[in-house]
Amino acid sequence: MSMTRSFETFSRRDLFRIAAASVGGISCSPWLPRLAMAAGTKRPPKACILLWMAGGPSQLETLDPKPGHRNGGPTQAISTAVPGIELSQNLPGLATQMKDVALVRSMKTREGDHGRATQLMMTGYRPMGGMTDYPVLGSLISHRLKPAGSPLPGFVSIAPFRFGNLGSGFLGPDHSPLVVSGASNDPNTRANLTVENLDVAGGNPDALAERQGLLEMLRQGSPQSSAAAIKHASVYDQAMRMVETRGEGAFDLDDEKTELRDAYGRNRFGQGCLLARRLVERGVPFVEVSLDAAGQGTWDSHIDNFSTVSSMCEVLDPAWTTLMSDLRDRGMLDSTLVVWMGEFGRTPRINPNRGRDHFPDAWSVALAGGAITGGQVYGKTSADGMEVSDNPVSASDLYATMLEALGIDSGGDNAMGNRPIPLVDEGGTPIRELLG
Amino acid sequence: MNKLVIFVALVMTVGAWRPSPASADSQGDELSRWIDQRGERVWGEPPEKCDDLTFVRRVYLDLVGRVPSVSEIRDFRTLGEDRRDLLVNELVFGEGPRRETYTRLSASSLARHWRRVLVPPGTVVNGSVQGLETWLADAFRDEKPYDEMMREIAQIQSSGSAGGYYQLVGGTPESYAGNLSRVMLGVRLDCAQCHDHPFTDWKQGDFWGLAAFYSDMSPAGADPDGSRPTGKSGEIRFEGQTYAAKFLWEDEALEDASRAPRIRLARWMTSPENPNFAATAVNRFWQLLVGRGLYADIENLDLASPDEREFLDDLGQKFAEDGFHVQRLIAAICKTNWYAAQAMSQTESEETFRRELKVISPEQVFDSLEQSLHLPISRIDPAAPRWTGARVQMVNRLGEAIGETPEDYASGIPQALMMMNGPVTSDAIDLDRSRLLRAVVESPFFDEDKRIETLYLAVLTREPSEEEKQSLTEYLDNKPNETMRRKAFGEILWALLNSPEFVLCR
Repeated sequence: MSMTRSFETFSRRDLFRIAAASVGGISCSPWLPRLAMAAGTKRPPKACILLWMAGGPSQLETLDPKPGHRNGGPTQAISTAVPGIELSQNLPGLATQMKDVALVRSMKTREGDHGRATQLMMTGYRPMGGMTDYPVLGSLISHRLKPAGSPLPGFVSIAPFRFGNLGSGFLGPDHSPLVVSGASNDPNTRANLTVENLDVAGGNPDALAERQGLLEMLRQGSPQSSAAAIKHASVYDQAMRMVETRGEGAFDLDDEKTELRDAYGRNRFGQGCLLARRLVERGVPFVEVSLDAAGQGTWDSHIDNFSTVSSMCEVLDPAWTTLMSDLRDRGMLDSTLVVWMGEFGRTPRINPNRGRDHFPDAWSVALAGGAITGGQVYGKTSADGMEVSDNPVSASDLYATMLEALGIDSGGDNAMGNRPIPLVDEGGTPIRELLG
Repeated sequence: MNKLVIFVALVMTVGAWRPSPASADSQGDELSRWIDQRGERVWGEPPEKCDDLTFVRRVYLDLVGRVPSVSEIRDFRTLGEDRRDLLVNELVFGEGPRRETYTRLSASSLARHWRRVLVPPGTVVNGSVQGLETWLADAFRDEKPYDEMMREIAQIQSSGSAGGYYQLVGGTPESYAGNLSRVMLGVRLDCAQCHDHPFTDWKQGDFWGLAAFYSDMSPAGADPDGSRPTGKSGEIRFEGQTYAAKFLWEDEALEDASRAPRIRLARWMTSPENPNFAATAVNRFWQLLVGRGLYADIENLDLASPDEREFLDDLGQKFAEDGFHVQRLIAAICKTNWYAAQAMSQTESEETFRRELKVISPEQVFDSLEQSLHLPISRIDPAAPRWTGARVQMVNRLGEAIGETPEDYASGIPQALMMMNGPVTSDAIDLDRSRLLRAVVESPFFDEDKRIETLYLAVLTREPSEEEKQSLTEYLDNKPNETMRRKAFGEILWALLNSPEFVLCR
């Protein structure tokens, strides 16, 4: 029986039928496609993990170091598992994963304000004064890849910090993110990333079916044509399924080995990456994990760029590295696209506060997994880092590439009512060199 | 607390107060009639009116920020023929025996709403919004005219003036300028901060011309990408360019701009020469009460065609002529047929009017629960959720997902889970701990029908329909024994609290 039949005609008999049918059908057969896959039946479903670096990380201290040039500052470069490709000294772990990672060093966008740039990079569309409410990447992917019948949402956003209030836009409430916040970012306390209130009020799980029935009856009292009421029903149905299955146990991070949890890093971002893997394993097609600040650091490094970025990387590097190896160990890397990006890069010229300011002209992102061919660098910046000298990539090019890496036709449309809205803003061309 | 006391509170009417008829035009009645007629020119015949109980729920939520109690509903029913208008007067102007309570509640309810207008959800806030909310509540309680409030906000002399609004939204001339034009003029200029606006005619000079009024407010900000003062008031530097103070829609910069620039800005802002001030004000109050602005895209009023904003401009003019009296405007709107229209029924004109369901605010959710569930409220009661942190927790969680308009339900799974399984709900459905349940289930004076009816009235401000009564009776009859049957009332209450109707005002 379907739990999502929101507004069909209700007869009072349904109340008892719903109660009798209970919710056991779902609870007894856990929805674990990847775990089922591990038993060796079918290919794992495609998914995407976005490591969202809110604030705009410096490309020069991460993926595109310029040692020896005045603009490079004191940051050194280190060699990686792929001869000829160098990373900043801040990412020694990622260097070992380089065979599976593709760097794009030629991002060229035009938004230098946090809010507007976030909107651009999160939706793939330039902010144009609110003519269309574009969905964010997670909603786009949820809409395309969410498996029917999954008790978990299609889009989970962990510890989100973004500039601006973005969501599923015209794709509607079914593809809104489930937001999971971490209470603490202190690396010394255990990160507690979970969804609160999963325990049935009153303590008796059997009550759930009765409540569902009563709620269904009461929904009939609300106007069926109201968009707000439809959304309310959708959100409640999703929440009910989360309670029934206790989120498929995805949030029980204690089930993981201590060593693995330590390797991810005992902080909000590290444990968030681990949670992302667990969610993807349970069929969630899109998980976003945000990192904006840690300890004394922030990506928005207007002041003391070098120390601030290096302390951010102490959190980033182990988490990202472990995520890569963990996905590979579980046979999930070929089906899981891992994207690392922020809203823009930083000025190559170092400011008087030893900081770097907002810079959309030439910056870097990284792609790995899915259909991405790793071990390569696409695009190039000039020696001083001030401009893209080779193969500029726009936000819509990047979007086209990410979608193709997940097996989604980047030339396709979404529908807003009966108006087709291209998945990718005009001009977006997938980067063939990156796609295997 | 004694069960009997609660029971008495539930069923007793408080006194038999009868209001005296209002004098001629002091309570928005004439304006209300004008709105009714003016609206008919646009939308034709108004839709059918909602029923009394729906009306009562609406005005209590809109005006005092919570649902009515069972005894307040009873009092309303004794008011006679003009009961709707009389109730509006009671809640807006504090007429009647509960003057002190309603005046206080309606001022703080308005203040909360305007605090969210001034500091919208998602803003990175610099400090606590409490000071601003208190400043607003005082102004509303003193019936300060709207233009005067806005002048105080525009002509601040220090970053702590007007509830510290300047500091709260970032403490820079550019953030203040962006907010003022958005709040008071319904114009989003922010895009013009870095480049000329892609769609509208706004140029960088428009944005920075407004920011220039505040250039001497604070020392150079920490943001090296931000503006710089020039040392002279009334002008500002950004990216190597100097901009002089300039009113929006004017081509020329202000003459002699260093002479009291903010006082002149405040005067211009609220004057009839400003085409958007009064229109934006009434649009915001209309949206607050009816759910959708007369021009729906409130903060892009510059995109409205002259046709689309004609009604709005006329109403704005009326508001200005009436001295920007907030309470009279609110009362007038609440007394119209448009406010009273049945939800989701549509006019048949070409330009349609339809009242959607309205999402109630986080504070309204908590304060309504407190009212419906008879939660203890005394500051000295250690179990009063208002003071234990439960209110803050709930308001924060719900506040994480607020829609842009009252028609937009933006809650997600975490919010639904809190309403389903959170501590307030857990206590509410527990017979040992729930004051409401105990009063209803254990009252010797109630039969089962009456119990169901009382729960509906307390939570949803309506009677159950015949179908609902039948379903619920059958549901109760299916329980194998008396204990289970009593517990089942907790389940019914759970469903009422989690039903769409609880958060979506019909």
